[in-house]
Amino acid sequence: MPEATVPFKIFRYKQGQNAGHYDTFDVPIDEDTTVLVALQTIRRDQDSTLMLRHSCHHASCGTCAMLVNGREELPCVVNVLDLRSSPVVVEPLRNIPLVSDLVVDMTDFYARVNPADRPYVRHSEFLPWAQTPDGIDSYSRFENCIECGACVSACPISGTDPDYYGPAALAAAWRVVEEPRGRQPQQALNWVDNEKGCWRCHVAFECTEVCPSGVDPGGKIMALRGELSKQKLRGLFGFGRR
Amino acid sequence: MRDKSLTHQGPRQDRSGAIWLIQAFSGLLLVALLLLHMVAHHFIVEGGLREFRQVVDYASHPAIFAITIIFLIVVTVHTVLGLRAILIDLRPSLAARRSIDWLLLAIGVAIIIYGIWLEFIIARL
Repeated sequence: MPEATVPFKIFRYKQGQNAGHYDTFDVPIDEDTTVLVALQTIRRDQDSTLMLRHSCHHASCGTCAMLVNGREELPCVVNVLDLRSSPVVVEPLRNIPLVSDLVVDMTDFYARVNPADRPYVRHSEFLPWAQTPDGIDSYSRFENCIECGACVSACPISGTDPDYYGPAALAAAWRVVEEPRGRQPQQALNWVDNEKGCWRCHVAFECTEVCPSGVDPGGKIMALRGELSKQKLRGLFGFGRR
Repeated sequence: MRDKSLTHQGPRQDRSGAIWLIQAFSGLLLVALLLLHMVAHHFIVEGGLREFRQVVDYASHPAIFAITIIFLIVVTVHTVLGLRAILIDLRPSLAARRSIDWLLLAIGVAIIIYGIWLEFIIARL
């Protein structure tokens, strides 16, 4: 049984329109309703033209990322009643080209992240005391980043400079340096060693704040700077390769 | 071995890393010099620097003279680089960026020359 009816103020835009606008929908909510389920309810019962992206419903795929009350969230894991707001304002991610309503075009995002060629598995730091079965040296786990785009949406530099690699790509580059798994760490470092790369960051750490997976892109960018700084200083004093 | 030739993607390496390092080190030096400046002004000279003659004598001391000039250079470098970072956020054209770089360099050099000249004037009083 619904516990309440909550108004949702949703950004709307269709190709060809000059500007977006907001539509408000009243949605029946119970204690388990997430923002994503509420949006699907609107699409099913009130307006089938509402466009949104989603897949897994449990924060694994990153497909549904959007702004909920002005903050980057995965709406699949945001409980509506926990927000304690009326209306709930839902908007598409920022700094990524808009396609329609809540859908953004992730093409550029992937084009920036993919060149880093980050490995998708990593050495697991969890349960370091756990014994592994015969034939297995250590446990691996999947990489944290789910490529949701929340970090790019929150980044003030991505908002002002479209040529900036962005926090997701830079964090991916650090993953190669951190645990190469056959990749070339120095190539990753050279790739980010320019003003569109790791030196462009203004250390706002908004990316780290909004990341739903604990990637800490801001920390990774600082790690890239630290590694490059070490190399430059070694080079300056004649110890290093550069 | 995978090799997607990252070095062939995106802009080439440039001097932005060196500029960032200079800004970082000048920031660290600023903290140290500012601390030294405040301690010297308030605690080294008994009762603090209260009169014009005390200030002139203090500024004329060779060690203080040298520290003040280093302070001036560090402050100017840090400020000019900070201003440059803000201006680059406005995404000027390449030509405008070159003008900004030269203008900021000229302003920085002028400030340092003027400051050193003032220091010499004060030291001779």
